[in-house]
Amino acid sequence: MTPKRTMTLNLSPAEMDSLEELAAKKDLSKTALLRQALRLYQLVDVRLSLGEKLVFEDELQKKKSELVVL
Amino acid sequence: MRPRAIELLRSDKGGIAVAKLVGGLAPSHLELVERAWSGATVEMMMNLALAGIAGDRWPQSLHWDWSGRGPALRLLQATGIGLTCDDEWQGVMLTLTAEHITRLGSDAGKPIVYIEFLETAPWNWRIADIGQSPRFRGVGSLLFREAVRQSMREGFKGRVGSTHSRNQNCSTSERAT
Repeated sequence: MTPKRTMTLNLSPAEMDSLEELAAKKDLSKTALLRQALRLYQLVDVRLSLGEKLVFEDELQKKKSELVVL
Repeated sequence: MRPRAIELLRSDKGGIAVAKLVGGLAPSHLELVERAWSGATVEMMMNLALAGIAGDRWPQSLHWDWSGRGPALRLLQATGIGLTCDDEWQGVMLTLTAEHITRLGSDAGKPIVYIEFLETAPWNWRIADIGQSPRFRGVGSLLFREAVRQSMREGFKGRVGSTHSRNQNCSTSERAT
């Protein structure tokens, strides 16, 4: 089994508050939430690299907006 | 995931066989699976055709190609898990952890382990139309159980979702208790 590697993450109070809020909302630990965020970021980056677009759609207001990810 | 021994029901000869659950499959593993199963799949299609079975009664996913799913394993969210016994792949599963969420009740919006594909080897399918009985029983259930275990490891509390499976008995979103 590949050993896991450890890192220290320093967050601002606002970042930590957001992390805790999201972790509670998603019913995850803070570590699990950060893993999910990394997986999602990688997925989005790969799909964008393939030429796809990331779009949010509001069906009620009939609005679409493209999210540009750095 | 370290390979783990697991008991499997042998329905052709009876008794219990010791199988191995293997996680962290690479794209090359999926190519091997496809090569190992393709002969039996073609033979099954021939038997179904010769028996005059209408196409809509054929196993739904005879066209699946595991070798084409290899690129998905390059993503952090993807996990490939296989079950081997008698030196053959008896079942394979591909799960995703970032693309799908629970849509049910109070868990709506929470992450799940999503079973993107789950398939048992062609010789493990029960197809009454051509008199085929499975060589091993419970392969799909064991893999599904592994998805629940993965969900627990991920901190998803056993939440698992699925919409496809080749053994056509798995279309649920369920939570382990």
